[in-house]
Amino acid sequence: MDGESSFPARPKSTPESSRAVAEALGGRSGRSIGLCVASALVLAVSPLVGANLDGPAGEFVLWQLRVPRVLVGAMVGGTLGLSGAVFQTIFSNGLATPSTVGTTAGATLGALVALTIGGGAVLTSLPVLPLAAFAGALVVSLFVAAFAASGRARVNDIVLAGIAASLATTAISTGIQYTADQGALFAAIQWSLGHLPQVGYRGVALLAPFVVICIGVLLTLTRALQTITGGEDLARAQGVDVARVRTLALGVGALGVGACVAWCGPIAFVGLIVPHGVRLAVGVSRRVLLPLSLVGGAAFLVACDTVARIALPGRELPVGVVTAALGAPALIALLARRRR
Amino acid sequence: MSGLLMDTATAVLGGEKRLDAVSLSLEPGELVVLLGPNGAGKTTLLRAALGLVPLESGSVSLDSRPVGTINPRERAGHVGWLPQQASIDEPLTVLELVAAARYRFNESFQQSAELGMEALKRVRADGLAGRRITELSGGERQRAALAALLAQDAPIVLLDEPANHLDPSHQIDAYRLVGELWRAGLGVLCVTHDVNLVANVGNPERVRVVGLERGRLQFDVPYSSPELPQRLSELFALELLALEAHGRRIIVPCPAQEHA
Amino acid sequence: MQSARGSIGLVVGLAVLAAAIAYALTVGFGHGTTAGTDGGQNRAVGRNRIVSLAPALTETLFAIGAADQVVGVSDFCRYPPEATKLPRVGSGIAPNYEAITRLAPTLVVNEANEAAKKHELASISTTRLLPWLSLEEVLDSTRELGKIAGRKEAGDALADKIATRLQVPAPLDAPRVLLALQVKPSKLDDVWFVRRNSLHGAVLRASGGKNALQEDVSGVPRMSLERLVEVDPEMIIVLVRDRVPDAEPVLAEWRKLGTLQAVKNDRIGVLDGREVFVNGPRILDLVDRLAVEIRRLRQ
Repeated sequence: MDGESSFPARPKSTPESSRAVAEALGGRSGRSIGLCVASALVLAVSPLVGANLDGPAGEFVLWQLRVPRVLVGAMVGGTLGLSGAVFQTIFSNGLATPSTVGTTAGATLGALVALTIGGGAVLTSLPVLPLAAFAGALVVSLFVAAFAASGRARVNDIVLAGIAASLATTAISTGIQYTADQGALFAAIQWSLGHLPQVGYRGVALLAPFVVICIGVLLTLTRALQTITGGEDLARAQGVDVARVRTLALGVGALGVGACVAWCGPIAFVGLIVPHGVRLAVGVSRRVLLPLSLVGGAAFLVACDTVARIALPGRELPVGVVTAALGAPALIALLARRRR
Repeated sequence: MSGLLMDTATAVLGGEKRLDAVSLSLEPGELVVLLGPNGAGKTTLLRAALGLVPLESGSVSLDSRPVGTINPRERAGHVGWLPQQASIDEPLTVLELVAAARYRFNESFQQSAELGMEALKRVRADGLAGRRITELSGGERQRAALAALLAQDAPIVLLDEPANHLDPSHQIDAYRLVGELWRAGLGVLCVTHDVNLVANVGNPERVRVVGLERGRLQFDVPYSSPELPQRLSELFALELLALEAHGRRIIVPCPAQEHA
Repeated sequence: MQSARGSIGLVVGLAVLAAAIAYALTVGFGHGTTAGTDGGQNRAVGRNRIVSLAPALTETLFAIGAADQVVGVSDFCRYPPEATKLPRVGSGIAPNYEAITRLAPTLVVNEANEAAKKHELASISTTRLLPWLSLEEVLDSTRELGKIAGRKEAGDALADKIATRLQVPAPLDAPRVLLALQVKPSKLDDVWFVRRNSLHGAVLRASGGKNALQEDVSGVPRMSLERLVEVDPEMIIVLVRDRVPDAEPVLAEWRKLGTLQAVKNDRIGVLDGREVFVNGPRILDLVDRLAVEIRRLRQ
């Protein structure tokens, strides 16, 4: 047993070892910085795009309409992008996102129940709607997660369970809409199209606590999620409490997604496209993938919303139409490029 | 005691008894080889030692504490595991993966990565650090996995067929590495199908060989014991021959006889 | 497993915390911000700048001579023709806040329902949401619009005119009529109908018909074909929004329900065009059309 081969040793960090590490991991950091800068630019420029801001109304348009809208878009996009990346990890399936494992559908159901039963009272300052959406999202995600944890369910089964849960909750939602009165029906239909327009900072104040808690907790799970990427059983052996990480991630994911859905309606595609785009650009290390999905998601949704705002003069498209129209071809292009 | 202790551990999975009153101890500095026919419960035994299998009766303890009462993060400081090669679809780099194995430590990623790099050097795989795990050959993957195990830095390690799917030269390589872990003071429990590979760990006479069949321990003898070939014959229900080559004993199945 | 259960508790705790913070924050923003427009000054000189988000309200404002006060209308306001020349500001359920802000309105009006963006609009300008479903609501809101626009006499006069025509009971021998609604000729799978307690319900009474559905219906006015057979109206008049130069395809679809007495006695009629769905003052024209059709079918 010679001294050199004795392990565990406690090596100190030396300039060479740092360099070796940087070399092994390097190459992608330039792209990460580029992505961050581009996202920041999108967020900064978006409020200035559109009809000019001169005249007495200009200031109001900028500070009461566009800036809050961009802030909410960034929060929603960031939450959806990050939870998409996290869900893909805990289900180890590239198709797992809040909208495919039933979280969005559950949130939609919860919010619709609140909208139709609670009526106008729900829209006052009490955050009933996000809580109802959260409850719906949590129940459906935990159902899917319990299914995932029971026995040795294959990953495809999980997505199938999610789709089944989504279909069921969507059907129930439609049923509720069917029996609602006309005003509630209009409110529900318009809400379910997904929309970001708003006036003032109420939406920002309502969403921020949910989004901040969701993002904060999800990011603290980064190391655990990275370890889970190498295999669930192995991660257990390496000290990760997989059940806890999974429940926590699904739970706070439901919290964030629920609040976003409650305020803006279900906006599809962001949670699927953004993490895929980011991983193609900067790789799969969760250390990079998670924060950049957050940043990229924010920029992506804000960009889509800006397009929705200016595409038709004087009118607005539902933002979900734009996320799908821009996102789907972008995803296909990225996949095609990787295949080449 | 400071190592792993299984005391009459019994586990039932899917209505079937997979472990039947297994008692086994493993101290740091010991190398135990676990042999048995397919389905004997070898992997279940390793998983039970990690506390990943609920026990019907009996107990598993690490450093005299029941494994179920130790939280996962702390447990990872007692015992590490090299599962049978699992396919990883995510193109993580080798260094990321090895660094991730240091989850139990409260340290920065930079620190984890540097110590992961050290672990890779220990298995002479530092050249793989920047490669994607999905692009590696079987032998390279196994080296990376062993590096991860080293990075986790636990005094007891459980190896599930570390030479599985490797060509003969890589198999020998893998067992030399196992020997190095052992000589570095780790307690090693190693599942294998090929008892002869044990010769590659260096001073094999200090190795214990344990036989498992249908969840029951059949024997626990030193590698050098003359009764080992006989015990293995019984275990696999197969006639085995002990041959000598270059002064070493080799245990091989008897060539099938022509039917009369 | 118990760690998973503990995590659920933690998540629920976090949810409650988030809700509490959100509540504390939104109380501060709950009453809306004030718009940067100089509405007060405009009001002082008696000149309103009104944005109307509902076709019926636009039509009413023009009918009471307040056209010069209207500065913006919804995408769906098509009458009168002068209104179509005004800037468009989205729809009642999806207003274009930016376009509205640019018009610097002193008042935004819309029909009252839960989809009306009360909070948001109120942040831009004074907002009035006027109930506009039943005849009584329409009459009250018409008078209210007159007051708001400084045209009280004209508003009252219009309301009185509508009341005189519509606030009448159906004649005793009135046929039991189902007024069905269709956007365009289409397959018949279920039936959207006019409620007794709606503005169009009053139109039916005034035209000499009795609603085949005598109960007050809340919720979406939609019924199954089986329910229709049960109700078995004496007469069916289909209001189709699109122009149908040839009513035959629409009638053919309904005639498949051969068990209905309305089909057996060939008492099915079609009225087409956007005007049949109008809920502004032009509704009075519909009374005449409907009365003619009912008389024709009775023979």
